[in-house]
Amino acid sequence: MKIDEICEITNAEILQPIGRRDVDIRYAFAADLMSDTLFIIMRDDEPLLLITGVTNTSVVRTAIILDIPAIMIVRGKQVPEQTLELAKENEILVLRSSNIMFVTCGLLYKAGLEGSPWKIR
Amino acid sequence: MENTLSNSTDKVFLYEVIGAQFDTIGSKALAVKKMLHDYFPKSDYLRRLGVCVFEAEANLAIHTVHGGSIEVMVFSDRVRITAKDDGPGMKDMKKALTPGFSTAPETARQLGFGGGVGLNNIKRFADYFYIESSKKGTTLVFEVWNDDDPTTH
Repeated sequence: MKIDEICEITNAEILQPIGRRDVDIRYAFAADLMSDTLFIIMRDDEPLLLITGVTNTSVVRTAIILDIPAIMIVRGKQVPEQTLELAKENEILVLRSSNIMFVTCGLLYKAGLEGSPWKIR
Repeated sequence: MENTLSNSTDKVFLYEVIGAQFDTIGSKALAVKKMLHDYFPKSDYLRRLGVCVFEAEANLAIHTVHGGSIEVMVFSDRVRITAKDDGPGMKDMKKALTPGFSTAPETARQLGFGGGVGLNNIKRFADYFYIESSKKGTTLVFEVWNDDDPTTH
């Protein structure tokens, strides 16, 4: 699923547009705990969208560590400038939806985005 | 698990982590991942290693008074990480290794850390894991082995 389509489905805006705008997202993972996000390390190499309410720079660092190309901030939260700056430096796309996490996930799942595969190693 | 190194190395890198500073958590892990890309270009391996270093760094930043150090030893087939601090140490090692148990302050949790899964994430992804802790400090050693051909992506 393309970034523009994800934005349309979730009524999201692109806060940080520098990055892989043409990426075809297949999976999504939603969490507010970064260690839980780090749990998905064994996913396939398919591009993944991280859906979260966390807006500080750690969410960008988590995305970089996991090679995640795009982050969706939910609940319309204000994103600090330094978070966007770090995302820009590392070409991580940052999107923002005014929907709550549950609704954001539901809309994307209904539209065909799959949950991130994971397994206990 | 046998703790032997198959190759000697002179590639040792040291990173300092500041204690009680939550907003930079992950910055050392990123630096380590970027530095190691020259040695291990395979993305799966670097992700696994990056996650382990991220968790070790978070523990130093959240649970120590003075921070600590992360030493990275690079071998041809593996990377050994040693994270050290000078306290206060873990009161109950068994609890500390129980998923979900955490003594992290609320400020760290608000930033998305302190969920009590960090050490377990390291144990899960590392191929060798050792930890000792007392009031004088904690030493965590782990290795991530590169099982595959390092030249393939």
